[in-house]
Amino acid sequence: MSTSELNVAIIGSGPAGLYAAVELLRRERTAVVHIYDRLLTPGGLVRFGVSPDHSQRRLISEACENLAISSGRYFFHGNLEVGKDLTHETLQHHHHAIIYACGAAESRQLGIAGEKLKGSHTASEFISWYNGHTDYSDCDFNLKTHRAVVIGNGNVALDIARMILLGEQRLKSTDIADHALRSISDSTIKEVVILGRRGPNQAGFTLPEILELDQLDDIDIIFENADFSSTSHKLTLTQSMRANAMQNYAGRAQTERPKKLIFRFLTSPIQINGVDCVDSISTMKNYMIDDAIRDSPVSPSAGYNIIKTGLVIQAVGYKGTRIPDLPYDEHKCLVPNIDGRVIDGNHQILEGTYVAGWLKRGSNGVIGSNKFCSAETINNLLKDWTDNKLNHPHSTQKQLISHLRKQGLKPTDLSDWRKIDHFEKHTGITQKRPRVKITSKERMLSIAKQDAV
Amino acid sequence: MTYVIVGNCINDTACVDVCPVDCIHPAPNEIGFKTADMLFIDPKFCIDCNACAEACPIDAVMPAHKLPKHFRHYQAINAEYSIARLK
Amino acid sequence: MESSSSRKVVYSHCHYCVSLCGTKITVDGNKIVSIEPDRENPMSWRDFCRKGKSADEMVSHPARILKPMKRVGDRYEESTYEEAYLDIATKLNKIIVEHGVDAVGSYSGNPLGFDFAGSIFFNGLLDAIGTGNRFWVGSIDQNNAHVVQDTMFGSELLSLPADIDECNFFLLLGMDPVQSKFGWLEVIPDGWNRVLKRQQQGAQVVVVDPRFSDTAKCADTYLSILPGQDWAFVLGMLHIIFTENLDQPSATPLSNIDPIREIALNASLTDLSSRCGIAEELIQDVARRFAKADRAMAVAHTGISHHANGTIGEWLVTVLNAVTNRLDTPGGRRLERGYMDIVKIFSSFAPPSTHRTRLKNLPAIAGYHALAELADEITTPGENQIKAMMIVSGNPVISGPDGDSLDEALKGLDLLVAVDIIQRDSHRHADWLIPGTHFLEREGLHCLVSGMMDKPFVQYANKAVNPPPGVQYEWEFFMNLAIAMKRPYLGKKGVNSFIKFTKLLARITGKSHLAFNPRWIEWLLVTTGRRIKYKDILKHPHGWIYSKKRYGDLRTTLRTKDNAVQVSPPEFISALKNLLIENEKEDTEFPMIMVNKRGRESMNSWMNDLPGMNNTERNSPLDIHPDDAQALNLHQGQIVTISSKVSSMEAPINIVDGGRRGVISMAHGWGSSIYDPVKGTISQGYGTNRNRLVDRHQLDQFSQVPSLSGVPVKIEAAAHSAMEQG
Repeated sequence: MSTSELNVAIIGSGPAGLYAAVELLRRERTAVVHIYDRLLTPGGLVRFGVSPDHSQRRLISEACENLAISSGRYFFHGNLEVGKDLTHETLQHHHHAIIYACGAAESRQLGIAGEKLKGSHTASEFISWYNGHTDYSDCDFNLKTHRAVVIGNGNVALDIARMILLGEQRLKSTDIADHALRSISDSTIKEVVILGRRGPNQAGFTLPEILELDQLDDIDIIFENADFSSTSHKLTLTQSMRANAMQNYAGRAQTERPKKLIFRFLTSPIQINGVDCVDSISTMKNYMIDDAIRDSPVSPSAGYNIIKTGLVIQAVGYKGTRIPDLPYDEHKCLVPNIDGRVIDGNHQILEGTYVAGWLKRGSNGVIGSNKFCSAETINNLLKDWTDNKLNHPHSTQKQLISHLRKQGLKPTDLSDWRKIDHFEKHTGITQKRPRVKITSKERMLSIAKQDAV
Repeated sequence: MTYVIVGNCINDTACVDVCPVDCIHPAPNEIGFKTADMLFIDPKFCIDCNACAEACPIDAVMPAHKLPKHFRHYQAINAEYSIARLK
Repeated sequence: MESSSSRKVVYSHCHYCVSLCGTKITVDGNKIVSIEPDRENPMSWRDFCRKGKSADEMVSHPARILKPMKRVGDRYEESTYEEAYLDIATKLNKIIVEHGVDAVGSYSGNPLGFDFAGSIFFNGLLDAIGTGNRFWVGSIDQNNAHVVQDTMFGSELLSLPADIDECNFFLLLGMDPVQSKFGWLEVIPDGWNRVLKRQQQGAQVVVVDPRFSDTAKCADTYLSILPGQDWAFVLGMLHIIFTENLDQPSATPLSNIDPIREIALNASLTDLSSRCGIAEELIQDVARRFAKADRAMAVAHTGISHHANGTIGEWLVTVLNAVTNRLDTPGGRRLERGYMDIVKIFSSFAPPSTHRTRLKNLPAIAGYHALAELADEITTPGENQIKAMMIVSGNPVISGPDGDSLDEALKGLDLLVAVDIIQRDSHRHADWLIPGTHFLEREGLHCLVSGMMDKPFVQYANKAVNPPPGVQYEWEFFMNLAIAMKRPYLGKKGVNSFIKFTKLLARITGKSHLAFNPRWIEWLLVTTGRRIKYKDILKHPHGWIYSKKRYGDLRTTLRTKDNAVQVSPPEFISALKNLLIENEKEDTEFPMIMVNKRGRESMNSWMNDLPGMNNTERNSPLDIHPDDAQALNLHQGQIVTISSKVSSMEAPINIVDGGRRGVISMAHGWGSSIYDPVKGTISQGYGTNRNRLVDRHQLDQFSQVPSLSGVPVKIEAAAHSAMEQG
């Protein structure tokens, strides 16, 4: 093994992992990147989080991959789960450094009564399902109801609401999972209510997400409890542009369009009701006490309400993935770190261990935010490399892979992914869609086994 | 004429890196970048060099006259941001 | 922090490419704060790009040569100009005494062409030495145009800029103005956007290129041609035009049309179609549309010149323009007479060189020999063998064909002097490194481009900052070296004493402008041109459109014996006849053809390393057709080995749809390293140098340009690519 070569493992091939790979390969010509993913498909939330009607954004993972591949020093290992198939210690034995970029897969929940009822779901379940995540293809959602309620005021909530209402015509040309397309096409939902604890100025929707609602000509957009004056702090420029756009919708004359999208602000869910299945949700009106800060507390008051619904989806944020053998900040739900260097409970730096993306900073920002987040981590990693503060691996990465094979694991590689990718895209061409996603791991493995076409 | 960034923008900033006249905002070193929902091109300074469109990994930049119908309003949005930014 | 009162704004223009974009440079003391396009420039600025914006990064480059550096063993030591003059003059004189004047060779790179003073004074030095062994970048670029201009118009420097704003039909061959801008031997700022504007008003754009370039994507008609076969396509068009009597009387006198008419009439369209790979109906259609368009032009750039038949191609394109009355007519190829009669002045001031090369006995073109010959001229022993070289603002090891051979040759020289801002691959064996200056540090009037402008435009380039302390201008270095060598400057007796006298005068009076300097020459050229006044130029800091453009000057500018355009030069006619009986042999060992492509932010072999360039294609990928990639079982980004009969190398592939199968394209100029002579470090350049694959022996017989854009290659997956994992 060449000693001048910097051998780095990146866990997770989502935007944070891919941006980290590109940055590392760009800056350090001796670097070799091994990226490990639990799944056979790289991309993380770019593949499984971005809405099917925004699939243009998925191009970013391909762009990053191409940049990384053309270095000749980038290797992808799919179907390997850290903590299960691979331990932190094993990785340390084979790499100078490990960057954890496995994001925040698990949804946060409010912890209200009735969350376990059939018909109550988290955002990640629903989004993973319609995006064809192999672990969620068997999920079942009650779309045979009149109304759905989405809790949360971020882009994720809005994506979910939009996906429920878009309808077959708009969805059939997207890369939505086939099972989801069938269910949503048969959906009887005519109304989606988005609940927000606070007001429109405090909401997390981005400007483009609000603007694109204008294209939905069969949906009435209704704003309730929307007080656009309720802010004392200065809105950012895009926030005020967003406020203008929302006010435009709010000021529109009501029409009788077949579907309704209702933004109900200043409303907190109290409990989800039902016997076996969800039949309604109880809510409570809030008043803003201090609107000066975004995270202002809201005070409950009278104003109880019950919304009849058969489907409740909570989109109130994500929790960072817990990594065995790594410290975890229970409060912030992420891996404690200083600018990407992982620290333990005593604020001591764990040498050769880094984080990037949502696991490092929490679930915020847009895709591109990861570029800077990962660049910061890489910058520190390279500093540590220069200062000789990384691990000293005692065997090669190749030995690791053959060791894993002997254990009966079936790691996949870039050529396997390429076959899957080609298959999906090729099927997509025949159906005039960007791609048709394969939603079962077995099917993927069998396509990967076929000879290249 | 001008180039226009549309709603697909993911703040990758590859366009900012290549713009010869620094007319794409907010740039990573500018106020508001961290909270920006997307990036915008200032039509007053754009010289139509196409560098941004070439650099964008997700094709979210295009010349104003090539905007598809559902993105046409972004020309005004880019301009609106650019004017408001300087106030 | 310095006060803002020390800030000033300087208006000038960028000198990297012929778009000559007007620039507004904000300067604080001797530091550049920003470079922006000068929107008050009436002619140019809209092509402004990262190259101009990042120009100050070259000025403050960390590896910049700041003092004359002398090689001592394996390293360099800082020296002085005095020592440099003494040492170089002594060594050159010794070589001249022992081996003759031709033992001193020279190479002038592209940036020197943008330094009017530097290029004039360098020639003054070479004239003083008397060597005929001058090589330059034109021989890997536009020499075919010089040959055609010389043969057809009687002058190597008579170029005809495209009259875009009046044109209704554009036939563009082998050019990608979306990336390269429209200029080549012409200054047409914002040329491509102006073409698009005409297109929106109804003009037709036909693009002929083996590569589905960004320009091709905008075309009304795109013809995917076999590389190097443009001559067959244009001859096919001439066949249709003459057969159907679509030719038109020319506003400029033409002589001797019959020989080419006869060849075109007798040629078989079927044969030509199979040679160029474009269907007969398409040739027919474009020929008719071109000939019938009220205003049209055909323009060919490096895609034509970089081939074995580039001169024949350029000639036939000019014939096409001539017989359809596109020469010096509105919307055609217009002659801009400029503010001085370039053709007249240079034919008397610098008569064409009669020197021929020692080994191949080839003539000089526009005063210079072909870079392709240089390596052999250095390494082949014998009388007049080149023993010393001066390389000025050039990196021929990277830009030229088969750079490995040249590198080896340069290593064996008795003396190598490099004048440049940065030490690069071509300078790694240099005995002396002499600091160069950057255009931001120079001022002056570029008289040579006056006739290349598409509008009567002139701008004096102002200096933004001073050169680093102690650094002399190139022109000073060349002049002082000639004097140190005690050889008559400009090759004329008495000039040295005159220069010394003016210097003395300047010192005595304390008026530095009294010392002989380039401004004298500029003033002289403008004043004798009698069209505008030098002082009026200086009154227009943003540049000056000094008159209206006019047509019809070509007939009086032609310098042929009969004052007519020579349509059928006998040497071209016989070469064309040979081409028509020759049959392309299929190359089974190297079945693919590598052509060139151009990136907006790359300028030949320099600047690619600057942080401000942010070039997205820094790994200089090889573009390949999806079907070819599939046939070879290659995937996007895979590292492949490309081999030609000369050499082989590795590069990642980029799968691009829409072009021609069997054609791959790769940008040149990559893979050049930066050497730091002070620290002794080398920073490896980005990408790979694809010109290493080019055969330096296979040249266009007229232009002596190698087939930079028609290299037979084969491609295989590289041994260690990402595929082998697991």
